[in-house]
Amino acid sequence: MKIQDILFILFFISLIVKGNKTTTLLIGLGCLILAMPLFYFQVFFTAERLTWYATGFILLSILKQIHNT
Amino acid sequence: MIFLILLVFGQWLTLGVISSGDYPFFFRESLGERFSLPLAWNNGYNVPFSTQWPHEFLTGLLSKIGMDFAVVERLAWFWPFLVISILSSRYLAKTLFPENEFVLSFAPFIYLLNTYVLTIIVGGQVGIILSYAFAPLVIATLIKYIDNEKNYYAILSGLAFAIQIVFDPRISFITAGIISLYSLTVFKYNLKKYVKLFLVPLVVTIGLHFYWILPTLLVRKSPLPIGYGSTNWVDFLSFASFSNTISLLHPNWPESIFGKTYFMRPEFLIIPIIAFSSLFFIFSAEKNGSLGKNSRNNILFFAFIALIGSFLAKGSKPPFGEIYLWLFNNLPGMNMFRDPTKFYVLISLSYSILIPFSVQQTYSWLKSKIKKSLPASRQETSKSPPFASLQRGKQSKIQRYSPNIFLLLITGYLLLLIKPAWTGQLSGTFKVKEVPKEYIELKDFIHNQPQFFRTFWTPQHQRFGFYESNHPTINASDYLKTNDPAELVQELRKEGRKEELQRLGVKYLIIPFDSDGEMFLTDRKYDHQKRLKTEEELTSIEWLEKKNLLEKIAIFELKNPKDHFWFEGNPSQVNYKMVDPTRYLVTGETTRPNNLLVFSETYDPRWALKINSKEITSEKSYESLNSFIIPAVGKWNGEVEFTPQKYVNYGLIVSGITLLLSMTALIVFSRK
Repeated sequence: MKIQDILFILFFISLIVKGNKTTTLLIGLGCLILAMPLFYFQVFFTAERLTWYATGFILLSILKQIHNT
Repeated sequence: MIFLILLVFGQWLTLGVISSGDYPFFFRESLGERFSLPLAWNNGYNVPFSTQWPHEFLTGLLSKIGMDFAVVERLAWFWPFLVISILSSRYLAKTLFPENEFVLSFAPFIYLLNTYVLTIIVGGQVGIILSYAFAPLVIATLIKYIDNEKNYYAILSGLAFAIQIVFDPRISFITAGIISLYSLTVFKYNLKKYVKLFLVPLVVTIGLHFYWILPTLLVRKSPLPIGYGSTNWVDFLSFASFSNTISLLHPNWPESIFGKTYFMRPEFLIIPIIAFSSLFFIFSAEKNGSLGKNSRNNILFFAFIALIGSFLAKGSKPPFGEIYLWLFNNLPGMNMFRDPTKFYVLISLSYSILIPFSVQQTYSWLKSKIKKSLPASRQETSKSPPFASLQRGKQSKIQRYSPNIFLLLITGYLLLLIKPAWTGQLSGTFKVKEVPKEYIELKDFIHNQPQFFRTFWTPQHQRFGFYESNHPTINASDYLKTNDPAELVQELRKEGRKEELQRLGVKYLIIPFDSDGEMFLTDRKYDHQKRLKTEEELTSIEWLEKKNLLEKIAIFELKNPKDHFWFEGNPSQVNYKMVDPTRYLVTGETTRPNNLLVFSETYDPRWALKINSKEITSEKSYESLNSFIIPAVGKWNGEVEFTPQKYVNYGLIVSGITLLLSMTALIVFSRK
């Protein structure tokens, strides 16, 4: 496990506890936006991981919405 | 949209032959043979019982009435794909968002013109694209049935699902998965509702496909080829990374060369950003009540499906590729998906709903912003400095046009992503070709010989190579278990190979003219020297006689090939007539008891010879052929048949009755 993954897990857990669905979604989309220049500059490892994190955040926002309804 | 379709698919509107990748070519003579009842044995192979018979029957019929292959393929494959994809995806969008004209119009654009389906088309996987085309229709009809419980939709969905299975059962499996998940969100734990939802469509589907389901169950034959369900295949075929899948970017786009992938193109990441932005509107709609609960739930559902599709379509690649491998080994039906890119269908379907919705909501939001800002600025003009009104006029113009500018940008962006499609750079089945005249001459040469024989293609059968029931082909690479032309020749030189090929009825060994550069390859490029070397080597084999018939196709004759039926050892007489590839009428005259009658088809114990209602089961001879020990002496009449065919026939009766009843019920219920 890399340092990025540990940071992601910590952040993810904090969002589960405290974050709202819109913020979580924004962060997910932000990860995708951030991944773009990294792919462009061929920083593939981190860029690829950002897409994984983005999915995690988007999924969390969906689950939060389902939970609310 | 129509103009774009003409640009991208223009060649499909001409009359040149389309054949590339997995998509074969048929001469009219061989296509016409498909106009028959479903067969349990064909062209020398014990075929997995095929779901595709109805479509094959249709293409056979079109050929029988005189249509050339170029016309048949357009009527039977390509034009239906275009029409059904557009109407089907539009129908799904209308089912989910009945009053949202923008989503209805934009959904087909996303569904038909994404890199996944375009790459599949390049590769010639026509079964998949037609099954793909039907997916939205199947889902929409079942959703309608859930919503209004009219029997009409139950039967229609059964028919649509059955048609989808004809083309590719794997995509149907995925469609069934989507519907199952959707019904879970609606019915939750109400078992009765599930039974009610699925009963009629399942009965219709199973009834229509009974012609292959019955023999599969009774014969207990795996519908998958041997070795298909190995996880090694999954690892080998998992080309897409997660960034590819979530971006709806096929890893082989745009060249569709097997195994050739590219670095991730970052511009494609805007697609999921647009798609998942739809969730913003759901979250805010919950507060302001601008969207109905159904619409919000539909968006949530398809967003979830898109994520599942993105996860599965990468196969065994990280993250958590082990989950796919576990599912492959443990979930019934998943072993059909050694190629995980089939799950792109989930992403494509979902994005065809999410993206138009997101774009439309953004457009409406921008428009609402203009309406709010204009009255306030008009109130301020009397107090502001001289040129301020001009600036505000300019600003309000930009604001006024910003929704349209946004639409233009989005459309332009999506078009740019598929630029190779509308600039004519896509190859494969996007291009027409001419059948080389050498293959037409070869077809005439083979077809005009009435006796049975096989042709042995080295290294493999070329797509324009002729074959028919009376003149089937053997791929040297499959038979001799090597793709390397040099190794193939070495294998042919081995002791006993000549007699082996004679027993198989091989009369001609053919080195094809590799018109498409698919066989004699070095570093993925056609290597003419390789072909010349193969021809040279084959010429030096003394038991092959080179025929100087065609310039670019090398034909070698093997003398004294055996017939389809022959007696071992002694010159006893045998005559036969093929009724169809599963049945032969055989007459013989034997001079001594227990003569061995050899039938040169791949050995299968389910072949049987009936003489005077006594059945003689096939025994294996010469390692791979069928044989029957004839007890009688003197003249006799018999019938050789592949016994599972009777189950196909029984199943076909059920399929016919189901079709009749379903169509009648559909007409009756449509009037109610």
